[in-house]
Amino acid sequence: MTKVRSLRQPEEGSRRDHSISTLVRDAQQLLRGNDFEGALDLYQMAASLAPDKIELEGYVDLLRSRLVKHYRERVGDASRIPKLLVPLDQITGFNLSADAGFVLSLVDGRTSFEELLSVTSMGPFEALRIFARLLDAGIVEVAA
Amino acid sequence: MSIGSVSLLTFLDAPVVVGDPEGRTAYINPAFARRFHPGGEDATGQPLSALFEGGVREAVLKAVVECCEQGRTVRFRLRHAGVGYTAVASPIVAEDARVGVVILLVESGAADERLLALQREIAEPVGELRRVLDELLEQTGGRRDERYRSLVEEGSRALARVQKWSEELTSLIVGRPAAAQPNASFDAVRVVQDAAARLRGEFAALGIELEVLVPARLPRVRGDGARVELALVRLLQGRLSTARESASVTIAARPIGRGEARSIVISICDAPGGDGLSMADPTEPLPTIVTELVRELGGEIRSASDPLVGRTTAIRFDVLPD
Repeated sequence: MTKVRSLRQPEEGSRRDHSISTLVRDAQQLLRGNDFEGALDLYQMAASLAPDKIELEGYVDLLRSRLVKHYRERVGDASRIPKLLVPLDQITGFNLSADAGFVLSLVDGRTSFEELLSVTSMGPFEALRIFARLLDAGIVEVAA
Repeated sequence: MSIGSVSLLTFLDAPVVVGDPEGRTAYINPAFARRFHPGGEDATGQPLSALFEGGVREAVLKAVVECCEQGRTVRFRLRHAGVGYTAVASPIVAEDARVGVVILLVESGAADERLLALQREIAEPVGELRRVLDELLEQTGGRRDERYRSLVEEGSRALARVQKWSEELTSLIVGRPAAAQPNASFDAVRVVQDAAARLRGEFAALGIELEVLVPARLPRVRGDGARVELALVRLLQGRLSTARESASVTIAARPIGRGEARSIVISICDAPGGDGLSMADPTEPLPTIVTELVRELGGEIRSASDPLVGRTTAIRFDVLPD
């Protein structure tokens, strides 16, 4: 039994290492094409496969820090007020995540992005990403 | 070995006393006899406690117990007949068994005494400032006072740092490691924000953007927040010295691990401007003070860089169990 385990463990370890390096290689490929979102997903997968390699978590943060700037640009002036563009009964058709649904429920046409960000209790990255996606999907618009 | 025996210790100017595991005196050297045991009678076999008096006795016995129980060297200070001593109690080990303790007393230099006196002088007004700020904080509750409240809070945090490092200084002079607090924990969100706040002005002066990415709350983390803040400040200063104008540095914290977070990661990232290949010294080593500090706190730290995305230093800390 011990013998089997000792033979199997390195094999599993090397398989894991192979998966991680494949994920990192693919992520870098996506980065060359400026696909930061896709690269982030792959780095997150790699980090979850290798909790002992915290540098992978560092890369995750690095990509999040790059993306958050993009989201901020997308949202623009945070004092502006988002408004719902899609009727409530059609929202289900967008297959939104629970977090996005929650953020959307806070959009009332009177509260600014800035205020919404502070009441969501999410991290700035998560909240801004949701707003950027809602804007991209045409679910919300920004009042002039 | 008794007072009459001749050994190298006999010729040492510093007082030395050797005790057995039962707390009895096995040997005192002539220097010890002259200064602490002038009666001249043989001290061998006497309880160690009988060689000292008052507070000194308490300090010596405490050190001997700690030394014998934990098998490690204990440093402490004592004052006898108007002279200050730095004492080192070390276990005597033979074939994996502790067979006694040797205490070496070295006369403290005047500089140490002066430093300690200065530390006490500093501690007193710091304590007064703390009381004043606490009182001011109570008076700044309204919305109109928000700005003043934030200033007082900022002052309080700065003062807490002064107190912390003042205590560390005392520990250093006394030769005792800073009091270990096994249950110490900190709020990573606050620590990250405070570290960034301390350097925001310096970043702005160089035209470098400093972004803080933290959630509203994180589980409490095991360790000493003041020391982690110091480590983060050092890392940010390192980034400041190598970052280019219009570059951007981010300090982030978030939970990691599936389900209930078991750890948090704090990262300092800088993205290169233009082509990543131009990033200055991506392999810059981490300051020793930071790596040692993180290791001391049970954390883990790694740096990595990639010309496509930038440079990152990630630190993992364990979350305090519920």
